[in-house]
Amino acid sequence: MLRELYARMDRVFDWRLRRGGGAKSRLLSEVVKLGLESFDGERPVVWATVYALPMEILTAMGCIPFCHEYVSATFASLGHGVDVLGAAEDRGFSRDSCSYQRGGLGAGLSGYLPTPVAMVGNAAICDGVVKVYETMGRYYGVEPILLQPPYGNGPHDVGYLEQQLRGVVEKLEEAVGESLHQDRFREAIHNVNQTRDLMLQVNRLRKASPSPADGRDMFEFTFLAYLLWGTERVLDIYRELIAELEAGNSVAGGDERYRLLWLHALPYHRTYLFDLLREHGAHIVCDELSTVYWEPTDERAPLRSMAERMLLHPAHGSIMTRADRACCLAQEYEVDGALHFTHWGCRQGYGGVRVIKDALAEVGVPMLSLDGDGIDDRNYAPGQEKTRVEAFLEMLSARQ
Amino acid sequence: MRSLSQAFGTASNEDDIREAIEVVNRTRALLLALYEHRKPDPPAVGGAEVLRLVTEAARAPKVEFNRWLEGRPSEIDTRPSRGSSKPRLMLSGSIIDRPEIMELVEESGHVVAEDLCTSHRYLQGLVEVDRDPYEALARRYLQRAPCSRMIGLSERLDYVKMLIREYGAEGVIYHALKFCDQFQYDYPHLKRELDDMGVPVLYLEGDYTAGGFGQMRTRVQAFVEMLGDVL
Repeated sequence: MLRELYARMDRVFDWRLRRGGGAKSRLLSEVVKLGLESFDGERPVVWATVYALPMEILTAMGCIPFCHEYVSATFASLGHGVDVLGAAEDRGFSRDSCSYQRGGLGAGLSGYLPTPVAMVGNAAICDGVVKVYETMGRYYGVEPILLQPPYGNGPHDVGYLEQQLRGVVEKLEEAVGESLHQDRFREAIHNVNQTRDLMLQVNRLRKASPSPADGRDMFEFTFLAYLLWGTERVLDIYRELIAELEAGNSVAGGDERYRLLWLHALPYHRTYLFDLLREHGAHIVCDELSTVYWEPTDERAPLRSMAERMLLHPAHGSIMTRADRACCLAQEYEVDGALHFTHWGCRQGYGGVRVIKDALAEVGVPMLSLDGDGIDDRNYAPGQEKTRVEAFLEMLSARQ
Repeated sequence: MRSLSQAFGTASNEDDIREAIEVVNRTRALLLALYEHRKPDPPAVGGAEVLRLVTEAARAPKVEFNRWLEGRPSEIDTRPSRGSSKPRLMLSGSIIDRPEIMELVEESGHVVAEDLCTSHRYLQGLVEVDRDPYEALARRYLQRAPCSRMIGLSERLDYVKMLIREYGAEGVIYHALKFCDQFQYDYPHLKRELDDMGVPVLYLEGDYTAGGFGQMRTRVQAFVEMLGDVL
C-alpha cells in the first residue's frame, strides 16, 4: 500500500517539478523516490528514527534510511492517518501513545513497510520508539539496535556515546555485509558540514522582516531533509531554497503583524491552524527543529563529533536546554510570541511545557501551548483551536 | 554517591554502603518470604496486605522495619483460613501504590502474585555482597526482574509466565497506568502469550485517582464471573 502511495506521490511531484516546482517540491520528490527505492531490494534498508542516528553513517554505507514516523506523517497528510492508527489499535496498542509511533507501528504490522536489514533507535529522545522497534523487530525478524545516550553532555558522556556509535557501525557492517568505506564516509561528513553551512544561511535569511519563508514549509523542510543528510542532492536542494528566499519567491504571504516562534511538533493531518495564522498576519519565522545547535563535524574524529552533536540536541538532557534555546531563538528572531504545538502522547514534549513557558515569559515572550495531535485528527477541535489562537493573537496585539 | 553526600552533608564510605545493602537485602528477603504464604489455596496473605507492607518498607527506617517484619510469619501461621471459593488472580502492570485497587480486586478473587514496580519486581533479586558495592548495585539494576522500560520483552514475558505458574494464578488483571507507554506497548504481546497459555486477561487502565473505581469494580466482577465459567 505504501509503495503504491509513493508511486502516486512520485508522479505528482514530477508533474509539479515540470511546472516549476521549487526547492520543497524537489525535496519531497527526492524523499518519495527514496521511499520507492526502499521497496526495490537493491540497496539495504535501515530503519532509523528521527534524529536517532547521524544519517551520514547510513549514506556512507550505501543504505536507504527509512523512518516509520515519516510514514505516519505521510498517511496523515493524505487523510489516511486513522487507517494506520486503527491498525495498531485493533491489535491492542493504546490510543494514549504517540500517534507518530502508533501510526508507523500500524503500518508496519500491516506489512506496508519495506523489510529492513537493521533498525537503529534512540532511547533518549523518544520512549515509545524502544517498544515500537521491539515489536517491529519481532515482526520483521530483526534485532533492533538501540542507542542509549547518557543524560549529560560532558566529555565522559560524549566518550560513552562515541563507543556506542562504534558498536552501531560494527553491527551495521555485519547487517549490510560490507565495511564502512572511509572515503565515502569522509565525503558524507563533508556534505553534512556543508548542509550545516547552508542551514545557517537559510536561518539568517529567515530573520528578515517580513519573513521570506513559510514557517510550516521550513519545519517540514528540515524534518524531511534529514533523511538525505550526507548526500550531495540535499546540498543542491538547500541551494535552491536559498536562491528562492533571496529572490523572495517563497514569502509567507500577507502582512506580517506577528512574528512567531514554533515549538515542538507539527500537525500533519488536515488543519485550519495555518490558514488561521495567515489570516491574522501571524508568521512563523523560526522553529526549534531548524536550529543549528552543533559545531561542524571533525573529520579526524567523526564519531566523537557526532556524539557531541547528538548530546546537544535540544530534546536531549535537561529541559533547561530546550528552554534556553527557545529564549535565544525568540530574541534572535525578534518574535512577538511562541506557539508550542503540544503533541498528545509525547511525554518529552509536553513534560517541559511549563518550564519553557516560564523561561520565555522571563524574556518577555508569551507562549501559547496548543494541545493537539500531529497525526490523529479524531479529537481535532478546530473551533476550540480558533478561539484559543485568536485570544492569543489578540493578547499579542494589545502588547504591540 | 558524591552528589548525595554533598546534598545531605554526610560522608559515607564503602563499608557504610555494604552495610546498607545488607539491610535492604534483608528487607527484600523478609518481604519475599511472605510470598510463600500466598502459594497455598487459599493464600494466607493477601495482595493488599503485601502492597501495604512494601509501601511501608519504602518509607520506614529499614532496620526497625526488618525487626518488626521478622515476627510476622508466626502471626500468619495462626490466621484462620480465608476461604478458597475465589479464583486466584495475578495483577500485572506498572505502579500501584494504592491498596484500594488491590482491595477492590480482592472483593472478587485472591490476588496471589503481582508483577508491579511496587511489589515483586522491587523485591526480586538481591544485591551481591561480595563484590564492589557500586558494581553490585549496578548489576542488580540490570539483572533483576525486568521492568517494561528495560530492553528485553522476551525476558519480561517469561518472568510474568513464571510468576503465573509459580503462584498458580488462574487469571491476570493487567493494570496499565495512564500514560505509562511502556506497559501499554507490552500488553498486546503479553495477551497473545497468555492466550496461548490459556490464561484469561483483563485489561484495566487507570490513573492515581479513585474516579474510575466503580467501573473498575464492575469489570473485575464480570471478569471473575467469566473465570468461574472457564475454570
